[in-house]
Amino acid sequence: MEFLTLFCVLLIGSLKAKGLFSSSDDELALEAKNGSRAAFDKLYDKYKRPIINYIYRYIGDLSHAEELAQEAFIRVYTNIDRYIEKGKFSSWVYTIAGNLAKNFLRDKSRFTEISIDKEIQGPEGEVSLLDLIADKGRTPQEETQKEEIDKIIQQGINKLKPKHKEVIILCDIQGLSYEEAAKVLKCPSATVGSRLSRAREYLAGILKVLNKK
Amino acid sequence: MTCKVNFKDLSRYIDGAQDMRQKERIESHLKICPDCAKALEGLSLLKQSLSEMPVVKESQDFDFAFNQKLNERLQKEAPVWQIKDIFMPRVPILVRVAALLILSISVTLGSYNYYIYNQLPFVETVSGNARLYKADSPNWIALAPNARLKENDRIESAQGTIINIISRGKYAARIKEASDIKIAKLDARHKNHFTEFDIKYGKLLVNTKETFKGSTMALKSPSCQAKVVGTAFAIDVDKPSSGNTWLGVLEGRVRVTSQGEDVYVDAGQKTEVKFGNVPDMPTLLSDDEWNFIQELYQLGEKPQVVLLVSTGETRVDELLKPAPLYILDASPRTIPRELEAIINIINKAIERNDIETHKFAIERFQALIQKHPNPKYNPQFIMFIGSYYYYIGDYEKAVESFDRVVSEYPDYVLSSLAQRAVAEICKNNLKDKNRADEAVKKLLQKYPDSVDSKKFME
Repeated sequence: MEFLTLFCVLLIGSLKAKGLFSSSDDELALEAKNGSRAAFDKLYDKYKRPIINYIYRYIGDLSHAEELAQEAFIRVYTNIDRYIEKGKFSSWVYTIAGNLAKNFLRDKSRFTEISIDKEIQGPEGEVSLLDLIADKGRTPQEETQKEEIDKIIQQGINKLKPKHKEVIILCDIQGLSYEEAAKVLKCPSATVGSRLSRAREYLAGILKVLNKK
Repeated sequence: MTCKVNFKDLSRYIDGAQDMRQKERIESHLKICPDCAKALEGLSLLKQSLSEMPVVKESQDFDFAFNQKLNERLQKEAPVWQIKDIFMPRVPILVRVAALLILSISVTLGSYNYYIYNQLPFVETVSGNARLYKADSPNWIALAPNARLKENDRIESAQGTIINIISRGKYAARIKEASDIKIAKLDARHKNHFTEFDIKYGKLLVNTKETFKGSTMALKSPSCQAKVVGTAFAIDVDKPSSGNTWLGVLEGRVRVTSQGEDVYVDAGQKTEVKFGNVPDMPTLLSDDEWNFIQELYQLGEKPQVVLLVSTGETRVDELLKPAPLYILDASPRTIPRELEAIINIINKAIERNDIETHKFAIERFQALIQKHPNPKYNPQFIMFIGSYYYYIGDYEKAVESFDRVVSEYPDYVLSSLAQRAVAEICKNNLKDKNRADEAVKKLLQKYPDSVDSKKFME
């Protein structure tokens, strides 16, 4: 039995050495904590795009989103020795990124800025977003239309409250489950469900995609 | 909603987050309630659209900028030794004295070694895969940031790799693409350094600093040798099969030698040396080569705002594109952060060709110049604004900006270019021959020896 365990350990070790057995986030985080830059780089490569997108959808500005994502990974690197919670690396990164995004919007709101955003409306004014979404893919200008829809939805997200914004980005855009989002947001998963429902209701209202009863 | 199924139920229903009993209750309700069915349809479309929102990709320099910022932060946060830590209060006095004596001898020897060590060039960032042959080990190891480079060390990098190397107070260098470069000679013990790079193949960009003066850098490739005295240049050596060498200079001058023949390559020029031949006579950099060499502006720490136009006759076209604007600033910062943000918006707008963002940026830029007047950078900014107005089709405002540069900053290095831009816009865009002629006359009178006057002189 002991021989078998030793064999498994050696096998996994050799597979890892050959890069055939990918380490979990937790293992990589622990290796990074012990000073392995290579382990940190793997985590960075895995999470950089999701984190940029999370922040981008949150603040609606790509150039600042990249800067904040860089800051988030700097904080991960410099605070990795404080990382102790097993199995929660992704939620830790998302929490750091979310806090940076919130602070950014808070600081930004202290200054009056000229907004280049126009009032939310479809490209042809009279057409509702619902029609646009429903029509998507049938018109020859499919790509342009898709971009237009994304722009309108992003403008809608920009108008949500922070707690609604984060839940809708995590669950509906990034595809996290209630449980995964709950770890990031540090709340019970039932709260994620009700917050998500409220967020969708507000967003649907802003975008006028529901015909109210 | 007024019926027994509410929005929250529908929201959880589309997520599949309900038990079988609740699910059945909603499904039977949906059959009899067209309003709820319609609301569910809208909700599903919204969820689908959100899930299909595109994933944005990071910009090309994201990793590079991240590594640079991380290194800066780590350098700032390095632990500081405190003198009180050394004085061991509970140890007898004689032992303390003996310990301090030993310590001071070691510190003297150590600090000399440390000084020498600190003078060695080090790897600032590595983006991609590269290995380092340490001559004193000797073996190959993976090249990592902070590695100190010594004489006879050799770097081999894979395709797509970028390595930044810093020699404090002397130069910043970047090794690109697949390269094989050896530090053939290195003497950093004195004020003036001597460095010789042996480039088997690959691309190397070097930007020397002002304190490089007195130091020497020599380059060896299979086909030629070059000597550098305070300059910014790039060298590209083909794979060993041909060994041909291309060398372009951004600032200063480089002497290139092959088969006993020397040529001097000045700023804005290049030369090529084919294996076994004498160097070609220097010629002006082409547009593509100019694009490659402009990367040098991203290297090093000189505080400056650079309006990037070449020294060739076609530079008026480059200006009216508009030309990219780079900021390089050391600490403490002399350029307001807001400006950096605006430049980022502008450079992204240029990349994406987005007129609305351009208009927004130009207004912010104008406001900023008024708020923070900076005599050192103002002419560049006004030039840039001029090219911007041209770009968005407001030719009168473009002419106004370029005129302002000439009248307010007549001795500025690009004023002749501004005057030429006025002439070109009046002729080609405003179709105003009189104004165009007047502008050319002014150009020839004020800047007869400039590269911009050359075309009209002929």
